[in-house]
Amino acid sequence: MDQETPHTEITPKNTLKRNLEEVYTISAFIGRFFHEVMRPPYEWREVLRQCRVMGLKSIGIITLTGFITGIVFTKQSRPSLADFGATSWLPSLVSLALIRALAPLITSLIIAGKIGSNIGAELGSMRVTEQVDAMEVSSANPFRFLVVTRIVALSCMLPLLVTYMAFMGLTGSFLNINQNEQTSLPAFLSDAFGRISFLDLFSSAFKSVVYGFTIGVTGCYMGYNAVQGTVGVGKAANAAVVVSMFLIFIEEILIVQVVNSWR
Amino acid sequence: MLGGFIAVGAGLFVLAVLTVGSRQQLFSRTQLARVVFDDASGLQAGNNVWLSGVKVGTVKKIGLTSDNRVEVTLSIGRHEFAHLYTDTRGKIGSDGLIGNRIVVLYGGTPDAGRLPDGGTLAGTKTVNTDDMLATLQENNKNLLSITGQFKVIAGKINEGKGTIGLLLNDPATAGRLRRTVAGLQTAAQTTDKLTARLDSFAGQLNNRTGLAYEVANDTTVFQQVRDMVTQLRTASATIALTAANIRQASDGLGQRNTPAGVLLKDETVASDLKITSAHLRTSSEKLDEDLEALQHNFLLRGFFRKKAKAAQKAPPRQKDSARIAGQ
Repeated sequence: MDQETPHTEITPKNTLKRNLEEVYTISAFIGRFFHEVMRPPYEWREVLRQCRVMGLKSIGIITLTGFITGIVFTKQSRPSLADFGATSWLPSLVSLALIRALAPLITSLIIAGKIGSNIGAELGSMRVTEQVDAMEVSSANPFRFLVVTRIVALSCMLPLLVTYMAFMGLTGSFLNINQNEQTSLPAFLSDAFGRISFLDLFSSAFKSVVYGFTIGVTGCYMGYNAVQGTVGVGKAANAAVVVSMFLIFIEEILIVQVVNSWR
Repeated sequence: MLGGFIAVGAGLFVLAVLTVGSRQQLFSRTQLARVVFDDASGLQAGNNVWLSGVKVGTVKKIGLTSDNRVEVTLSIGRHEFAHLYTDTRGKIGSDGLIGNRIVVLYGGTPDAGRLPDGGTLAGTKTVNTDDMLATLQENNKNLLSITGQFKVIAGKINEGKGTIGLLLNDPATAGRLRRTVAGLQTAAQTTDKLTARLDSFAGQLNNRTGLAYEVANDTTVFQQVRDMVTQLRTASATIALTAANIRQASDGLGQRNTPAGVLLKDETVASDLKITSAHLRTSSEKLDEDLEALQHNFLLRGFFRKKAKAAQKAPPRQKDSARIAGQ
């Protein structure tokens, strides 16, 4: 990404040219991913290993974050609803917020920080230490083994993590509502799922896949194309987090627009 | 561990899908009903359908008819559909004060017959916000008119016109009113005392040893009292009849055209009666002498001697009887 030499003159023309080259490189990277993912042999063992690293080892932070999000969102929403005497709407409000936006967004941001940076640093280190080059020389396909497996694993794991986080958020919300409004679990579930539609569930799942793919592609791209030695590794890890978060918000607003047009 | 994590995550997602699907009756058999409204009032596809306060389905489709009315197609669970009849009606309501629009089904009698699948129900017009605001505006106009009238009344009162104005501005009227109120207070105190006495009297009536309590609670005593009253009524009627007869007789005594009235009122007849009485007394004395003379007549002397002898032979009681008969 940041591949210019120190002697390159910074002009608008050069900047535009550089950005267009960047877009082309990224497009080629994504195109190569889809090309590689369709062709056997498949690296199932590595995919499963990445799933374990990315999914299973993120449960702790997702559990804690989801639980706290549910409680905090419920506590912050209560005063506003209480002004209208509508605290009975808390379950539906929290469930709508969690399933439609909070769970996919917060989970993907956490994973971007945790996994995206990890991927960028890991692949960047392998690039600057020429391990990737060594794999290419040894007739192995580093792109398939390093990039495709990570993107596929993250795209598969993020929907599960989002579902898990939504569940934990609803659990925290229920505990808080049960403590304050004495709402029973059946009544909470009835209210919580009363306003949820299939569009909400599947748009949330779709967003999760897109965000997972985005984090995976960004992290892998930054790490796979890292330069400038150990400094480049740090830059790749940092850029993987910043760019993927930025892209997640852009995608969020686009997907919300599309989904709301169907609603 | 990874398998368990994937299973739990996927299971939660499937559970959510099944929950939402069951709430929207996507996994159960449904039947369709149509309701025609003049105004959809913001109703949307997917809104809930309630029957007697129970969610029984969802709005499937909303369309306009050829006469610009709104035909709402409802998807209702098969079991709940059995409770719809051809005279069931529908209206558009709200889930809470500011909640989503819902279709409320109500009424319906079994005599009208069950609604067939795809049948049409009549929709009723409900009050919407615009209607409420229009009514509120009308109320505001009425309130303005009433306020103006109150202003006129207040002006008249302030000028001392009318009863209330006189009351507020005339000291003499106020004084009379004050005295009236004092009189009412006295009457109220008297009423209190009277009430206390009535209460005491009622307490005495409730005494178990008193006649009133027995009359009220003992059926035997009550029957006796009733019989006594009946007898008194009969006696009263007889007395009234006797009094009427006496009055009639008394009236007859006062009239000169009746024998008794002549005797009591006519002085000439009274004089004649006195003379007749004197004559009768004289005649009686002479008759006694004549009868005494007859006893000594030779024709009747034997009869009287036999009678005297029979009287001497009879027992004392017969003698008394004979003596009485002789007298």
